[in-house]
Amino acid sequence: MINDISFDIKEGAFVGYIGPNGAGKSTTIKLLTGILHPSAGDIRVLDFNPQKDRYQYTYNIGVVFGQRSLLEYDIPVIDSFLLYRAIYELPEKDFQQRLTEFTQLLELDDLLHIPVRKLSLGQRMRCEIVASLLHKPRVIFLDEPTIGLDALSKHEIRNFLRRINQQEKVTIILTTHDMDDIEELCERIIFINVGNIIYDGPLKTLKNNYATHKDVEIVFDNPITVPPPFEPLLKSVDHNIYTFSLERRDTARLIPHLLELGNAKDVSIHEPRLEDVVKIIYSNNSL
Amino acid sequence: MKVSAVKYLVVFAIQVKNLLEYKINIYLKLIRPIIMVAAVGALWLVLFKVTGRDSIGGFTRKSFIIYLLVIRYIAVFSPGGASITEMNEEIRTGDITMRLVKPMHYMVWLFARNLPIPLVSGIAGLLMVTLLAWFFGAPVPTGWSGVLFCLSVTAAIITQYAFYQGLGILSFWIYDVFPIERFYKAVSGLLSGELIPLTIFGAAAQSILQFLPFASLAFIPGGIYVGLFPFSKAIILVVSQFIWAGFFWILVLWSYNRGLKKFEAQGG
Amino acid sequence: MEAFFKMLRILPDYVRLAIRRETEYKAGFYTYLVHQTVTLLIWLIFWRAILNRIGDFGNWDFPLMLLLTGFSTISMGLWMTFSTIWRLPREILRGDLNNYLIKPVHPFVHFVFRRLNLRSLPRILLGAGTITYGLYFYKIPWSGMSLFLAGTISVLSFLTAFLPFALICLTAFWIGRAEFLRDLFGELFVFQNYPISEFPNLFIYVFTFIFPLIFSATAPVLVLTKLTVGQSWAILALMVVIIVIQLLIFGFLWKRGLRRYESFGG
Repeated sequence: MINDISFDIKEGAFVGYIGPNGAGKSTTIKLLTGILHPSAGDIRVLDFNPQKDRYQYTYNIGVVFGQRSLLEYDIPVIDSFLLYRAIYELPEKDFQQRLTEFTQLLELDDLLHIPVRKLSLGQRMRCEIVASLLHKPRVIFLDEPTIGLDALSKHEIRNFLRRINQQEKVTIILTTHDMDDIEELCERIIFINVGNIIYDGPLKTLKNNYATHKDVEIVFDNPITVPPPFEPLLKSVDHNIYTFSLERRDTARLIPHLLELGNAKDVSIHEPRLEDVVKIIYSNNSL
Repeated sequence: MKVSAVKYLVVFAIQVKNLLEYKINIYLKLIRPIIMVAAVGALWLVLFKVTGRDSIGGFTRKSFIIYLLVIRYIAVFSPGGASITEMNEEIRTGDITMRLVKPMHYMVWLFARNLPIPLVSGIAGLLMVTLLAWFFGAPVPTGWSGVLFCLSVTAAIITQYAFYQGLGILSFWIYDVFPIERFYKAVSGLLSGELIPLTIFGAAAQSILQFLPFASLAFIPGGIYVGLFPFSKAIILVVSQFIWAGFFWILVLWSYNRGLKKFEAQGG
Repeated sequence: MEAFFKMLRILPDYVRLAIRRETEYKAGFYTYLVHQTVTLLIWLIFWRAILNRIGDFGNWDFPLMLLLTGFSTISMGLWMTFSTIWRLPREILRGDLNNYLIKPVHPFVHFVFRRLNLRSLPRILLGAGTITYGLYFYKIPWSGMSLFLAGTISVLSFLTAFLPFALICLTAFWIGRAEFLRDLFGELFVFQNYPISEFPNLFIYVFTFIFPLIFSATAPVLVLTKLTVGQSWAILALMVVIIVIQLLIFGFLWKRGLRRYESFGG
């Protein structure tokens, strides 16, 4: 269920659409892809009404549902690609060119002739993404494309998506629970909860607005005694590594004082991770 | 190895709970045989009418319909049908390892899981048939014949389950057992007396077919129910049923162990 | 209409996909072939055993039963080629139609054609072989026209049997777990193996107008062996009218059902 959601997305943008389970992410994707009919309101994507003009519209979009497969399970991957060539009526030359390009980028050479059932999850997802991009869509909807993947597969897929977004100026809308996906890829976040948008803007602003503290990690050569005024700031001690949680506005002012507490060998300042910011938002349920 | 039945009882109990969540499965199992019998029975009723006979192959109209109903509910009784697909799926995807790492015997676990629906619908179905038979004045086994019928049904279920498990176990060697299952069902449909009672084939064919394992699945228990056999012959037939049941279970357990060894050797 | 022509354009690709699937499981293909042959033989044994005991079944003797079995095998072969329809209730319930709705194809056409079951095609040859055997060895008189008409009715009978079944599967849009209805309805298919013309009028009516299984085997046998050319054309015309009505009902309910699916989003 979603209500009163309204947003515009510029062509070529890479937008993260996030929120807790049941927030309405998948519902929005289904609305935007034309699967679901809205009970009220108006949707325009690429000057199409996804519901009314679905047939023509679907030539222009690519969709990946992380939990569902676009590929034929029993037969080699290439056969599914060939079927999509026919469905999207791609000229042979364009198809071959694109397939070669993607195969190289995602290192699929050895996978094309293997039945889908024999692929690992990471390999399959790379193929799923290719299947949804072969027809050169102008907008891509990715619903949890990295779910359950190992770090390397995630990395490869993120690199690929970034490249496609930048080179082809294709608009990408990504829903995910993996905040690293968002941090690495999206310049804009739409955050929804219980069917309403609770934040829509740049990733950086979200952090600045919400993550009021930064972690400062100082390595001393010997154990130190933290004087009472600084005690409330101390977050953790691990051997001689002391981590302090400082308010953004005090960080620059307090660091010199902290360094004087002992013989400091190293200092590092950590930006809050989106993951942590999101946790705070989920637990407070507001912005 | 200490064998504990409690865990399997828990599996059974959980399945009963699941079953109650999807009561429609029970209704389907209960109603489906009636539709099947209506479809096959219609042909036989027309045959009786067209030929003007009172009895065909030792069956009257009534006893024929009751025979068809009984054998359908016995088929429902067997817990194996769904487990062929389940085993095939688990073995070919390798998911069976999830079961094998648990302290339980996979076959017993499957049995406990698959038992509730057939148990409920089989018993309910047979009660329904008995009521119907009684209402329409068709023969109903009582006394020792009743006991023999119960034994015969038990042997039928055990044998049928052995066949189903055997088909599931084939998945250790064959990727897709569905065509073999279809083949088995077609052959057993004819040879078990499910399609037509074996008496229709004539005395010579019947004398051989009734002692084959397939007859155990339908013809013998169905025949005992409608009083087709003299008591002494019925005893011999039931004994033969148990011999077949024993033989096939030994075969099933042996091939399961062989299959499992092959699976473990190849790592799935 | 556009979807129809596009389907024709993509058809070779769907067939290629199906062939690919079969070549992945060659053993399955051959086992299924054995199964189909045995099923055919079982029906012949069935009729032989019964007719040996009772004599002719009304106007039907064994040679006619042989033709009946041949035609029902052809019809079943065609039907089974599209047997993926069996999965429709589950796909609707699980929201699997989503994958079809995001592609520029007709969702139903894509659903049916992406899993063509080519394994069943040999059944058509088996059926045709049985008919040829019956005509030749039992010296059943026939004409080119009667064979053409019987063959046409037999091939089209696939639709008259398929569409009502598909309609039952569509109920999943409204009732969710339609497997229950589907399985019960599926049991009625056994009637296409019977000489329905010997059944009481109620059965003939039901299997002509409600669930038209009479066209699968009974009608082709009668057209080939007993009816005049005029009567045969009349049957074919009736069949075409029934198919058109079935298609209209199916199209209407598919649209309504999909609309409902789209309001829930699968």
